[in-house]
Amino acid sequence: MTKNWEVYAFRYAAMPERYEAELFIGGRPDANWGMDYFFWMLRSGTEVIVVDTGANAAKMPAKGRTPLISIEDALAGVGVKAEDVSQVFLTHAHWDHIGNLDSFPKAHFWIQQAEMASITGPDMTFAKIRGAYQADEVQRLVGLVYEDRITFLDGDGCFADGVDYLLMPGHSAGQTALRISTTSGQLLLASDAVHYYREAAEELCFLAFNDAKAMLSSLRRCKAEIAGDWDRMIPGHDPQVTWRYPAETHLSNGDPVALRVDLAPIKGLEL
Amino acid sequence: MTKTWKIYGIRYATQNGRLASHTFLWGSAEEELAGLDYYSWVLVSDDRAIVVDTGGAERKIKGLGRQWIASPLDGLKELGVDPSNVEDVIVSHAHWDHVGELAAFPKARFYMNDLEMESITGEDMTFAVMREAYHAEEAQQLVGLAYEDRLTFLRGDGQFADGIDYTLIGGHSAGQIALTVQTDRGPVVLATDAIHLWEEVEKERAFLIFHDLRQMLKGYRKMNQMVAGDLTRLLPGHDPLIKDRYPIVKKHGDEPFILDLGGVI
Ligand SMILES: [Zn+2]
Ligand SMILES: [Zn+2]
Repeated sequence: MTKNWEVYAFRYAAMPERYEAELFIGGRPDANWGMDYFFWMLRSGTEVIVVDTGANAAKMPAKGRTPLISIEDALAGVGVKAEDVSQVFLTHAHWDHIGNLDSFPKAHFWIQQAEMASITGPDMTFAKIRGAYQADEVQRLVGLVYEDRITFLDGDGCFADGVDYLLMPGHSAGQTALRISTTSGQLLLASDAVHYYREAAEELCFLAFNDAKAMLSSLRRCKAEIAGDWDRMIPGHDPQVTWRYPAETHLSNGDPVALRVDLAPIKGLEL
Repeated sequence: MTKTWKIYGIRYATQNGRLASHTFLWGSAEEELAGLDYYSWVLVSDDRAIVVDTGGAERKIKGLGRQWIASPLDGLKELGVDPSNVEDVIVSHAHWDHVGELAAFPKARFYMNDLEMESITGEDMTFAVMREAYHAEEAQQLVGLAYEDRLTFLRGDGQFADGIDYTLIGGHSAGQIALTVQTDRGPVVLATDAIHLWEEVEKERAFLIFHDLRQMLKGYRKMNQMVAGDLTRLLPGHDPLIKDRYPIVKKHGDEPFILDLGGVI
């Protein structure tokens, strides 16, 4: 029997104002979508897989983002010590996903070979593509390679019992989504292959990409994965995720932090 | 008319004696070879100096028991080339003995093959035996240069400048390139480590450090063809015979230090 996993989305930062025109080609300048920032964790019994590491808090204010909680504290809230985590899966290497690699000193990391080749190679000679990556973080990834702490993935495959990875290139060259078995069925943790539910529903073209055509094809593949059941999709930056799912931990102001996205939503979806 | 260039080899370190079993695939532990010399190169025309590889760092060379002769940076200065003003540095491949002084060229744009970068930052480096000849901090420095917009990737073959072409050879390293340089005595192929020792081409002896054996062997034949069998126009990267065959421009103590590799033998 396939293993089932609990899936947590941690809302570690937020940008209350993010207008459609800043997000999508042809977007309206006055429609505010907001943007939330997440990293994720899968847990089954004692096994823990952290997915992405969030943005480096020190870099966020200059980029106009407000950090809400450190990733260490977010994990501690559900009983996980970052320093003890042994597996970190990286969906892609944008600055808001790999900013805290060294918070996991004992971890081994997984990333697509295509992502690494892109972020160290000719793609980075284009300033418009380079903008979403940070040199020091990419250098740290290279360091992890030489410390023998990275495994490279090539395309699709099985990561663990009940966890498959799917290459969804476009937003980033090696963008990866995870298909996860849960007690509520299979979940697609899209990460940034889909930032917002409506992006997938309406096939909107997100404004940060390595390859627009590939990104749109990946959007469709994500939609095909969920076969019309939107409750099975977890997009990477949609504030609706924050308010739709039951929370296990909260900030002092009551806003949710640790969301159980493997459980049934407590609120409907606006598409 | 095609521009012609001077090719200077700066012999910055040497290793005296080396077993064939540590040098060639299937080499014998009974056979003692002369050793290896370590070079950085510079191509000079009237108005331009292009550095090819920056040599290894002194402490690493000494740490591996090699004899240090003098800094490749001093060699450049002897030739009237100020490293802090150099504008172009070609990286033939990223082995530690070729990329040790990147920071000494603050104004330079660097050039390397794209496959080399992919190899030294990617899956190849998860194999300990492949990782050995590269160092994390130098790979990280090269990545840093990409983000500073100071790195240009060379894909495959092409013309670098009037009188200088690059050819992707691979084999020894994933993105090992060779340079064909027009000199006063015609085209000369600077193989750097696509060939370490002339014997590799003469006898098809396979050097022991490689990324892809078959590609390396094919490279030997290809470069031999590029010079139509005239090995005086094919310059290996580490052969101790080089210092005996080409005019010495400058000695450091008793050691030949700067050689005129485009010169008459
Ligand atoms: Zn992203
Ligand atoms: Zn070498």
